[in-house]
Amino acid sequence: MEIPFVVNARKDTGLFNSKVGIWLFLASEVTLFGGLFSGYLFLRLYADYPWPERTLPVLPGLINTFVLIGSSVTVVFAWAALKMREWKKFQIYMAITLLCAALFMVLKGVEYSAKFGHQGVQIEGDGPVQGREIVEGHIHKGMVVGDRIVDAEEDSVNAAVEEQALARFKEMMQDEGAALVAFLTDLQAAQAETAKLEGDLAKTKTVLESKEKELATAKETWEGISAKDLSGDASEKEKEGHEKAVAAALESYDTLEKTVFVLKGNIESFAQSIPDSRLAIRRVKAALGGTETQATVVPEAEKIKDADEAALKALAGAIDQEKLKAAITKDLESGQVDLGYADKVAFKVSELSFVLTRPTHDAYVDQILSQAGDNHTITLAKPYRVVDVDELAEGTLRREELLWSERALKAERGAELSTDLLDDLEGEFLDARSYDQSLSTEFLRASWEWVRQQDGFSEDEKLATYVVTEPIWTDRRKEDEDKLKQLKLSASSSVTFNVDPPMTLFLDPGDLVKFDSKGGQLRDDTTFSGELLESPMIMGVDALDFRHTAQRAKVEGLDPLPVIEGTWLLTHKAAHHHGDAGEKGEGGDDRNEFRKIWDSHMAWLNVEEERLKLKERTPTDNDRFRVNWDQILAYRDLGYDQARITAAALRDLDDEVATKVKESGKIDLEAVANAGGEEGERIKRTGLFDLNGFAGANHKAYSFPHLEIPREKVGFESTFTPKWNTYYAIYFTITGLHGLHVIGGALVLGYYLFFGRKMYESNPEWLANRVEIGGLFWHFVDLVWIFLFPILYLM
Amino acid sequence: MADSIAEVQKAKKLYMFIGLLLFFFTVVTVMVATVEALDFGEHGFDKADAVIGLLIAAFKASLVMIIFMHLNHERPLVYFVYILGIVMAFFCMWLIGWAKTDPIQFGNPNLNDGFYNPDKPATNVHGEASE
Repeated sequence: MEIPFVVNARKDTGLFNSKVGIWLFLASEVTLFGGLFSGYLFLRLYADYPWPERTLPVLPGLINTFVLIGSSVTVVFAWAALKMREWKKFQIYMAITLLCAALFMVLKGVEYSAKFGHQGVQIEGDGPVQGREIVEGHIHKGMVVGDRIVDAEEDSVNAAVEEQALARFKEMMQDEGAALVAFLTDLQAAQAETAKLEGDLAKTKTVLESKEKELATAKETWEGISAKDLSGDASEKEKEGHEKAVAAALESYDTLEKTVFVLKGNIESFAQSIPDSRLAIRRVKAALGGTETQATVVPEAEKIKDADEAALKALAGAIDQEKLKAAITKDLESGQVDLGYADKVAFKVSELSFVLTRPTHDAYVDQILSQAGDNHTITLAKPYRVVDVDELAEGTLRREELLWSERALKAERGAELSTDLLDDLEGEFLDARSYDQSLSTEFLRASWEWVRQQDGFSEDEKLATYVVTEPIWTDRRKEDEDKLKQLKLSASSSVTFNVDPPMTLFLDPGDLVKFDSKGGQLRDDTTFSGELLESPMIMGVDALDFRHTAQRAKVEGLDPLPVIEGTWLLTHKAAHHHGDAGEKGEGGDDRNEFRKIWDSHMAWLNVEEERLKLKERTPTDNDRFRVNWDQILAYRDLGYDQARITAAALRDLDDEVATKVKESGKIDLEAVANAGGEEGERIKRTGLFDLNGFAGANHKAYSFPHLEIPREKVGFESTFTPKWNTYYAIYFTITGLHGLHVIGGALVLGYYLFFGRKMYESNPEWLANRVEIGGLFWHFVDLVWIFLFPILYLM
Repeated sequence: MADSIAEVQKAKKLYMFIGLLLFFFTVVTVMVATVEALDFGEHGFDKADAVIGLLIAAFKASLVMIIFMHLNHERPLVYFVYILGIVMAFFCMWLIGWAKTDPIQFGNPNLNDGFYNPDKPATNVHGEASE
């Protein structure tokens, strides 16, 4: 079919037909975007939270405005080129237009991805306005291994686990090494003692032997001497000499006898000591693991004692791989090395309950089972019984008996959790429920029929509106209910499983509908009970926003500043299990880092307030209650030192203004004069053209303060997507729709560029008209952006 | 409508000029929002900035419509269609505003399962009693 009037104008309208078509379409587009702009207007006027004004980084939007205006010019040039039959120029201008469209979409993609990766968290507090402080930043993903956060990849997790376990192993081995050395010292002492005792014993025995010989000789001598008869012919002198000799011999005998006695005693005591000493040796050797290992253990122990990391690793491999493994396992089990997910909530779960009224989400069941692994069993807490309908129809047993019959037992106590089991029980439950429901319907119908037979209720209309409040109906229904109670199967709508031993379950916060310290509920209504483990939300914070706190405080008639200063964010003690250091107080400063940021901000605001006062102006709530990422970095560079910040803020001003601000009396001039820091410090805030902050805070280029928010303090969290607030809802709706228009327009214009040659050769005017139509749409896309840019980026 | 080659040639200069004018006013918009010396009204964003920003945007949009979209010499039918679209857009705006006056609102805590409860006084989204 040939479409009429695509080249030349119709007489009555004065237009070629496609132009009427595109204008009708554009009129509908005006209505569509007009409606969305109205949506924006009303969302903003009726927002019950501080509207995020001037919140988007301007530069990408500005470049995109230039890009679209530029492409509007080139598309109209392309059309003019066709009119003048310049195909080459048409190609060039159209190609530039398409490149502009591509650049626009790339920049939009950069902006979108920055929003998707950026997190806002409203902190839940107590106090007059429930806190409502907001922190923005990047959530740490990956796994927590001990005191570090690593990528959730097997290699890096294993490396981190090994590293930390090794550190613990080193500690342990060094302790063990020290113990070994102590043992060895004892052993050597005991061995020396034994050797000495044995030497003494041998020596004493030799001495004893000679002494015993001497004793025997002395005895003979004494006997010989005393047997000599000197009674007759011996002189007095001789007699005297003889007696003396006898006495001397006796004495020497006695002495020797005593010596022998002592020596015997000594030998006895040595003999007694030696076993003790040997026992000591045996004990030490036993502690060391036997005589054989002693030879290897002794040098290893010496090595372990002073081993460095690398040597230790080698040693761990060399000595005892089993021991290392045992050490790692022990560390993990005893919690010496924490292993968890940085962005997940952890529970110690002892009981799980699945709801059968709606299909359970198999992915959750699989996740639970895979996390349970082989070490935990998840079994049905009590048997699932429901009276079998077929058996009921047979009518041989009473209902109570049926419930305990074999066919009523659908799952035994102790049955293991599986998706199949849940599917089966779900089927049983749904069958039972539909049976119950049809019973209820039957009863309702019968009662309805019955009541219509009663006097005074013959007319249908009257019946419907009137009867339900009458006692005759309500009494009948009560009777029905009593009967139904007996007849219904009333299958249990949930099944409970026990987890033995209780398992640690890591859950994505997005999968949790609600939770508290005792348990929680998943999105498929599965509930679990147990204990919430410490699993804080870990963030790098790039903005503090107290505007909502301030707004609520003002509504309550309170001064916002003390309320802000009492919020959890500014008062909490830094937990600091994970991540970089630098948050701990120094020199009695017990402010956490966020309080330091806030105090720094107040120092800056003080100068800003005075500066604006000179112009009879005041800072906005945005200035006062929000600390942006570039401010956080600037304050940190100045050491969170209020005097230095004040001095730097004054340096940022013109001399004349600075003098007037100083004269206001609100600045502590003495502190500023002694501020210290480097010469000529200024507050370096990023301007419009800082590429590091092109699409917002750049967490790759800068490191931001580290915050751990206990799970119970996480009030509301979301990336900067429609979930976060109505601003982002309308932002994504309008810019998304606009982006689709850019893509659609580019496809049409691209078709003219790449497939227009044939038409250009046969009917160039027709192609020119087509390009004009495509161009009209393209200008409209530009026109929408001309409004979107100031509304979303600058207001 | 520039149909002859001479006219198209002439129009190209105009398009270039309009393009530059649009660039210029884009810069002006950004400067009004970011340069303090050009900040009218209160410090920071306020009604004055909104009015100025939207006026500049409206002016830029007019340039695009009049010159690039050739509304400066177009047939009455096109004006009719276009104005119809704008009227419809304002109708949408009015519709939303009108919906805002409805006592039965989304987020009304007195609504029970989406049905209005006449026993409880109606409140607006802020929980204040409304007429």
